[in-house]
Amino acid sequence: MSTTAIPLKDLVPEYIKHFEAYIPSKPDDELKKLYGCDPLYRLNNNENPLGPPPAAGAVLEHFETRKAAIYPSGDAYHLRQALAEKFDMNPDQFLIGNGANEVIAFVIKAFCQEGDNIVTADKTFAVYEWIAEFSGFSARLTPLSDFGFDAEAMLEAINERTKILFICNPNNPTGTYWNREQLINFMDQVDGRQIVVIDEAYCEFVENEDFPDAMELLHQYPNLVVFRTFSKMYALAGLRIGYLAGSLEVVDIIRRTCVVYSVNTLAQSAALKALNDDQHIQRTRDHIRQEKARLLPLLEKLGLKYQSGEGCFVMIHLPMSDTLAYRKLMAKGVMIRSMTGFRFPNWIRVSIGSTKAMTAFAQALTELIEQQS
Amino acid sequence: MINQPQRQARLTIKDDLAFLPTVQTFVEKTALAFGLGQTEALALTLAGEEIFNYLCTQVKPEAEIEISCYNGGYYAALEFILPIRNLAMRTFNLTATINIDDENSLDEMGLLLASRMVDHLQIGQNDNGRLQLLLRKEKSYPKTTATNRAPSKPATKNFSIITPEAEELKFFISESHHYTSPELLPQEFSYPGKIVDMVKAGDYQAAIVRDSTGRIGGGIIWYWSSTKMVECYGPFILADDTTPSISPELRQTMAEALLEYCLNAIARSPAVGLLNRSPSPDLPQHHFETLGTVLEYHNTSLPTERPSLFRQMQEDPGAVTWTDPNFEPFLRSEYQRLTLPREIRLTSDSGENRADFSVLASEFDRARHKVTLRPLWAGNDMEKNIADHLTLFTREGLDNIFFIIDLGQSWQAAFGPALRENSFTPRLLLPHGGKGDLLILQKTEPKKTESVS
Ligand SMILES: Cc1ncc(COP(=O)(O)O)c(C=O)c1O
Repeated sequence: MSTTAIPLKDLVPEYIKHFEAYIPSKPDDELKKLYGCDPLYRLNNNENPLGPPPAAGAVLEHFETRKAAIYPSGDAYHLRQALAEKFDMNPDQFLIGNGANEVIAFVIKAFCQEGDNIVTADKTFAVYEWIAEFSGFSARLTPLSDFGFDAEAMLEAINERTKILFICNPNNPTGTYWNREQLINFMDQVDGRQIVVIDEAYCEFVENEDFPDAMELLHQYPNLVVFRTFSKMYALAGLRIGYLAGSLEVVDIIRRTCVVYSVNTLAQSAALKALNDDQHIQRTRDHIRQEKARLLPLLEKLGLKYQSGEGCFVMIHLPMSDTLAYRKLMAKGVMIRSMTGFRFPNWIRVSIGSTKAMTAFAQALTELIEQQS
Repeated sequence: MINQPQRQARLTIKDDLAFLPTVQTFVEKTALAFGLGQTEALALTLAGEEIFNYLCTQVKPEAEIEISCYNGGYYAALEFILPIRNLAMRTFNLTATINIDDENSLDEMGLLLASRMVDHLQIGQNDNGRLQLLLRKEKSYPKTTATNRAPSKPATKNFSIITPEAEELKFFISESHHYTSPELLPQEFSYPGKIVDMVKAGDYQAAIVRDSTGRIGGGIIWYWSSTKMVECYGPFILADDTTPSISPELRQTMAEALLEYCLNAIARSPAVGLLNRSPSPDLPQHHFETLGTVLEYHNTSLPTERPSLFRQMQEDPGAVTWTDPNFEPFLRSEYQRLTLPREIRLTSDSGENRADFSVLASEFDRARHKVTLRPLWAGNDMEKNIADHLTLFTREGLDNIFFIIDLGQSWQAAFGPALRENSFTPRLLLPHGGKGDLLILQKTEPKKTESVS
């Protein structure tokens, strides 16, 4: 055994020294013990309470154990074929990742080198900013305008070292979105100079007519890259599978940074079955609509400001520290997302869960507010 | 914590008194080059001499001592580093070589002498487990004088929060004296030039309210007090309660905007919490939780009781807390009051062998008559060791004496009985401030107190 200390000071890059690892929440059994609560409802990760579409569920139930010994398709061959058919595109326009999180890393690695930067909003999904920063690239952040991405501010933030613009549409956590006209206008102004990523992790939840399907714009804008995930609407978050789509020339570049075999067999098969279940989408949308219709009047009654847009979540402004509210709600058996980390201090985000979970949340929140006043 | 400044000079030298003149010249010349005035450079040089002298008598011959001088912009810092294997651990103790009952011997105590000559002295272990002595001497700055001047016009509601330029920052700092009672302003606010240099050095961060006509409406300052904790001063709004053109609502909106700016600047960083140890009337309290209070002893008057307000920056992941049974009731009630999920594990002395000598790290803040002790090593003499330190501090006129225990480090719990015997009482619990929560104890006198609201 070597007894000399590892010279970490010399080994570790500066940008890693200053970066703090993301600490995921502990497993339920540990949390229940710590907070002394049972049951515990998780309303913090925007998961689908209805579970996966039935056909995808069946894949999981009937999985042949001997298949676990065999490597998966390295590039998710069949799934890409199915996606190509669904969106009327070439299978090589898709790259599948271990969750959309992994494809964020693919894109950044493919286009950024030392000194480069990405542009995104300050109050959006954190992973674009995180991956850029722990890879040594800076994230130029623009403030939201009226809870939405500010196109003008983003265009102004571009400099000669900007490689990628990330737009979350609809935005997690505010639920705002750019309509078709706004998106096209933005793409025209970028004019092909940078890669524009539209993260559509929550697009299947949007019912409004004017919501743009960025897939349809791919042939028009070869610098456009679209992200989708099976974690949200399709309820396969535990299997970790998401994908990106883009023009052949751009995807050909991104493919070079892809980790092959990172998506497991079960995930590929379940995703394949989930893809065309439109009834599942309808059922989920109905559920979310109903639960929001129960939740929002309660928030009004409690006198709480909220921001509820598209997607399976609602942001609520509290008259107290959100990290304190997190602990108090945990003690009552409900886990929400505190929003200080999203740069929305004193806001929480609650995911729309099962009716039972939402009832528990309503009661816990009411108690919390009543105790406070 | 002292941030690593940009410029530095280093000298590696054997512990031989023959090198004393070399050390003197090195410290004096670099301190002057780094911008200290003659008086301050001389003080740092003398302190450096004392330390070098002390180390030469303490460490084994032939040890190498690394001496660095840092330019911190508003201060010069001098650092001595040497491997622990070359010295007895007791060398860390301020009281190591003196007979505490003999007042004359205090003056022979190099470390203590050095501490009198600088603004800040820290003795402890650095990240690589080596002995580190860090001395800091600040430049001298002119004090701001409260002038009889017409009040500045308050800012209007068309404002934004910005990072101030140097002159704007100085304006905000100077003006704050007209609107805030002195005990609520940090000492540094008496020296606007110093704050500008602290911001320039990256040790402080600042934001102000500026309206569309350029008027400055208030500000906030924040800084990293450890690798995990951020502390803030303010927000301070530049308006009398009676200023007609600023409504209470506008005042609140400005304060809220300043605080949110600070919170958003440290969100997604390693900060686990934001602490405010002298809440101003404008601080939006609904963002915070009250942790507890500390007593501030002033030489003459009664101590003032100051609440500490805190907010977590991250979701609490739970933790294990190790404690001596003495502090269990305090901890249980605080954990319950704050809804902090903790598994409390009690420790006890089961007769196992311990080192003969305990070791304490000390940190002096002379301007605030304050000293903070932290355990480095548990040993059989803990009670006497703490008592000796206390005698020393009392003689030095240091009335504000703190002891910080990291509840995440089980071995530190052994100091519990010794702390109780020396009348230390738990005052504050700082969630996740160290490896676990930090328990901040204060040496308290059974005197009456005054409270600051
Ligand atoms: C906007 C957005 N993009 C991407 C992801 C990542 O999803 P995945 O589970 O596919 O990694 C999430 C998950 O929360 C998200 O909210």
